[in-house]
Amino acid sequence: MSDTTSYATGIIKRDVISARLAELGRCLELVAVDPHFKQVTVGLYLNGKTLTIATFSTVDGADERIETIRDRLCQLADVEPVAGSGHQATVVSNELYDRALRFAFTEAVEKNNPIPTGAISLKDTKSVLVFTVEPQESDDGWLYVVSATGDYARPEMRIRAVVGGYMRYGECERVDWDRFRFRNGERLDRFARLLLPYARNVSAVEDLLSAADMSGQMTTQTLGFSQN
Amino acid sequence: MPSNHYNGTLTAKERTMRALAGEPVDRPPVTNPTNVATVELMDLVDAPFPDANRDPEMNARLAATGYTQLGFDAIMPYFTIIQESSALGCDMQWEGKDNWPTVRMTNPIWQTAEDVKMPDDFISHRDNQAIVESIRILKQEFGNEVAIIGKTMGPWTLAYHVFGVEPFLLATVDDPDGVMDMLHRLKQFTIAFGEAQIEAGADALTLPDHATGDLVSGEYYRRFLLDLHQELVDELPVPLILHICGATTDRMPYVSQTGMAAFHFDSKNAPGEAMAAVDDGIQLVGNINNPVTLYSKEPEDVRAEVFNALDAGVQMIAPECAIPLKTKLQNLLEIPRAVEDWAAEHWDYSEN
Repeated sequence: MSDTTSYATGIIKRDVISARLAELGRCLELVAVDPHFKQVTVGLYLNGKTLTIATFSTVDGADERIETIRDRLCQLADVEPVAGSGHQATVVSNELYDRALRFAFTEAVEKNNPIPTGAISLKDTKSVLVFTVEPQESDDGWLYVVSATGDYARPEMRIRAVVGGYMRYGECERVDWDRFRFRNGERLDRFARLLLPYARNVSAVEDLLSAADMSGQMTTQTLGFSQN
Repeated sequence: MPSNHYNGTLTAKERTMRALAGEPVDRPPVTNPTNVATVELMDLVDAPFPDANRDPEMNARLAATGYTQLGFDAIMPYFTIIQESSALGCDMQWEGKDNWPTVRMTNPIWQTAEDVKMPDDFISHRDNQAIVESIRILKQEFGNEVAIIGKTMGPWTLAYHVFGVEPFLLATVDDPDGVMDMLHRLKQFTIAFGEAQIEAGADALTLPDHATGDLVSGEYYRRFLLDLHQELVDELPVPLILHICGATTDRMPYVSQTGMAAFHFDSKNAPGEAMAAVDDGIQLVGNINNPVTLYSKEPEDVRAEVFNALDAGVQMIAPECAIPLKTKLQNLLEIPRAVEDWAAEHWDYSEN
């Protein structure tokens, strides 16, 4: 293969991708279309403990947009910006919380709402309850206590479900019916805040994830060539 | 292990064409009978869907990445299955960058065989010309370096698009002779578009004809399509790769009688069972799983699946169908790497 780009057709003949991926590392998540910036595709890559937000697009403004996404990611997830870089962050937790990072990245790209601060609190989608999640130090490190306020007959059922949601999406351990902890008792308040909307309604989240996975798939089902 | 080893180095095109002909190769080719374009590759060459399906230069830029970036041994410029149907006037849903254009089959354009007419502008229609002109560009750029594989839809797939899936399948029960008439009339589009691509430089053609395991039986394939596919082999003078999705082991013994060069098969068929079913009557290409392995798993899982297919004797490796548009590039890059490593370990080149 010749090492050129054809100026007549724009066909790239040199290998760009494999060298770039060697630097970027493993792709954790792709957002196919950035709704806030020229429909470009943005990926989250992991190399060691370094996260890189990258696009293969070269449109004007891409670097600035990547920096905005990186900054939002650092507000949503327990990761810190790499000094001097506009597109990298470092995983500060001892463990890699893959699913939570992917949620954070997708939100960083697809949403542009202000990121909440203060108490970790959110209304339930299945009852009138309002959940609160509070960090609490213990002999085994940090744990998080889920409580609820509001007029509802069996709030413990909903709290138990929320703890289950943290176990599913945050790879957390159940400490008791109303409390959980991240692995090794790490204090990860940003992940705790990020995951509460997902943890409160696992079935709806699963439906959304399944629908997202089917997008862009060519199967007998999506083509309409199936009885299913 | 396989004894058809070529003791030397072949170009990507030589490797593909030799494998399609059942001749010795230096390693199994990584072919691309359907599509390997992804959203990241669209960004790399500024050729997003849906425009890359309709503009020949964008199409060529995106198609070329399968070879220049991913290291496959073939280039496939026809990413979808809808170009001819668009040219025939079907109701189209072009979608955006991250989804496949489709035909709205609930709104069919024809009802009977008599409705099937060749439009004057069928080949010159922009959506067919996008592919034909792209092949011309790719041939000019790459010459004989890499195989350029075109694609022309078979009459069964076209029937779904123009008559609607349900009406067409009901007709196979109510009026089988009428269905044969429909298929024979639709065959003209398969031949015309195939010939146009061959004239533009296509080295081989994929012929998707979705008599899928989900919808019809192997006996249906024999009854409605076997003779027709044999006729298409006579009409189109390049190696043909038949593509049918789904569980198809029951029809593989018939597929192996078509005279086509290869059958592109789905991961719903175990490679060993597929090899036994075709019984050396046709080369097999496939069958790396898309929705789970390539889309959501890791390179080591891809590698294991490639090895599984090669261990079973599958002659050409490829994703089972058009890949999900959000497939991670690391998984696609792993396919040729795995094939090279497998061949280095398993093939004894000193035999020649």
